[in-house]
Amino acid sequence: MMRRRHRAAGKAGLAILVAVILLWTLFPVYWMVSTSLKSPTAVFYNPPELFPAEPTAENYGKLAGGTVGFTPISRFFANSSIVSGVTIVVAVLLALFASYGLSRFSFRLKRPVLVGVLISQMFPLVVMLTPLYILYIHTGMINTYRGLVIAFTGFTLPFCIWMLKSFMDTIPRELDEAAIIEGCSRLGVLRRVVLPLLAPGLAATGIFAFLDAWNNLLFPMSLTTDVSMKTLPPGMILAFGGEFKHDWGGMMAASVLVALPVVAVMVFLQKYLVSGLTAGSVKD
Amino acid sequence: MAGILFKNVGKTYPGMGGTKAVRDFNLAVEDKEFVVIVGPSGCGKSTTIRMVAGLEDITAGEIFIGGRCINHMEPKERDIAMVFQNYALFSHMTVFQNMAFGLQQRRTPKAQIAEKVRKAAEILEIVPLLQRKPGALSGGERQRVALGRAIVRDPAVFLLDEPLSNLDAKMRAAMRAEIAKLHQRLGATFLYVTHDQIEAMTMGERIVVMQAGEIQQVDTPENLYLNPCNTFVAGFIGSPPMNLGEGAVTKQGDGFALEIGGVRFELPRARFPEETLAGYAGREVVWGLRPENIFPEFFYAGEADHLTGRPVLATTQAVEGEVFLSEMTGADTYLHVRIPGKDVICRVSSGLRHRQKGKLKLIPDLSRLVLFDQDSGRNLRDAV
Repeated sequence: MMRRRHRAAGKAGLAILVAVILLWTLFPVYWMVSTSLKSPTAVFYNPPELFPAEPTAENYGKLAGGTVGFTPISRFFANSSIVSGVTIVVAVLLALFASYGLSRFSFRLKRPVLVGVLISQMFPLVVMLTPLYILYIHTGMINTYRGLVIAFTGFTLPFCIWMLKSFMDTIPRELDEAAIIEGCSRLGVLRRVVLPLLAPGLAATGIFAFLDAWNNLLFPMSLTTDVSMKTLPPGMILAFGGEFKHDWGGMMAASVLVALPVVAVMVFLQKYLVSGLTAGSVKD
Repeated sequence: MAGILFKNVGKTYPGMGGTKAVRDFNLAVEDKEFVVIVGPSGCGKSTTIRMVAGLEDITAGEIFIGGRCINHMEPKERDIAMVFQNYALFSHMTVFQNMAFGLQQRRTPKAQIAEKVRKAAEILEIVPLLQRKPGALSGGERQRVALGRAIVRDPAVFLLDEPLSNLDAKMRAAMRAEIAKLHQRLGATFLYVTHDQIEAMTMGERIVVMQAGEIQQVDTPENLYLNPCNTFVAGFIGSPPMNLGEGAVTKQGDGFALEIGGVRFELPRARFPEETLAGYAGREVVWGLRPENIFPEFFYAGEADHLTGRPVLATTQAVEGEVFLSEMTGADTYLHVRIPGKDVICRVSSGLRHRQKGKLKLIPDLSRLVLFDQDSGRNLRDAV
């Protein structure tokens, strides 16, 4: 009897704990959405409104129709999509081949290569910014998608390689060997056996590369000077932030817009993140 | 026509001072033969089979399949199929797709693939499973699928690398018979690697015993069991293993005698002729007796009897011993008996009313006795 009551108390305690954690994580998200629906004056009400009393779509209207100079805000969105999309493809593809080599073959410099890849991840973004900027000026890559994709890919690739390699390591080598004996080439093995089984890993890595590129502020801010080449994060600052203006409503509406694709990607790819796709290939 | 011929084959792994995994491996596997390579883990047996498959480079010597040297051939050109310990099924494909994989790689027409897969599935009785994925199958079923993937291509040589090790004991026994049947039916050459000597003994037409990268003995199961070439093979084959002890050979009359447990036994001349033992008079040797070749005296009291399996023994001399453990395994009971200087295991029928503990006199069957050189460990009969 005592024990049962004990267990019930434990369950209740757990529920409360979960509720607190959820509140802690979700409240900022809620605050972002609710602020985006408030008028500029309502944003500064004291005490603050938990629910916008008079919700307005005016901030979203600003996003759709607004401009920075002659550049429509929607252009930032398009820039971000293009650059992030290409970055995903390039980074995942490069990481796929690199991690297959690092996972499956043993060669003399394997460890140094792996460690080197890891070390390159340890330099902060800022350290690379100035050399990159000078390099881009000399090669004419300032204000190009190409330049941004290369910068994003270079930044995200080391982690992608490590991540994909650890996924690759969980696929038993015997599958490669069986396929080779059945008549596959190495590329055939990669395409017909490893790739399908790696889907969760590819999805996870792709999401990571996407987030890295999508959320990056420093690179596009510095490596583009032309407003029409800015991506969303610097674009938002140009549109709604600044020394003398604080358009919180607009900023939050833009934030919702930035967060939406991320949420969509997560929802769409989540099923691939559930591991267990390799169940049954070998005895556990 | 595809035998496998190994000529001085060796494998050295780079690094770590060049570990020699396989050394000077010479073997001729006949066409349609079932040869089992057995040995403790790390003995080089898997490396050997993987060299045949083309998954490891051959660093010394040559391997021929059907007369063609395969050293530099791609695996797919070798006319082989392989079954792995962990099945290595493609979990994203159905059973049908798994089995059809190799044929698709060879651009076999679709109708032909369907026909071949169906036939193989019928042989292995997995037709109802064809549309399932490997994840939904039991271990035994998965192993059948792996076998199916191997047989659809109709290769000349089957390579099986510990295919039953991941199955439970009951399934393993069933699959043993299944694979032996498959071999008869397909008429292909089988090279089978295992660490399990029961599998080796039950399935192999010939058995290769390996240790530390070298072949110890290549022989039929009977010869391997009755006449192991050295103390390693004697201890490795058979469960429980052969009793091995040390004793002195002495000259006795015009024959020889051996001391076991403080008793001198006259050695049967037919089994140990003069020339074999001449150099060993006055020296210690290692004697070997299988547990079933040591009889409790009470069992032997009476005439030889075919019904109870009571044999005619060459001697009635007995060694005094004391039972300190008895293991009942079903039909047989293993008596662990301490005789002077040695503990031996003696196998008796559980139907006998043997003593659980206490004194017991043992009579060795000297017609099954094996003697080994103390230094080299080699069987004296081969040493000449």
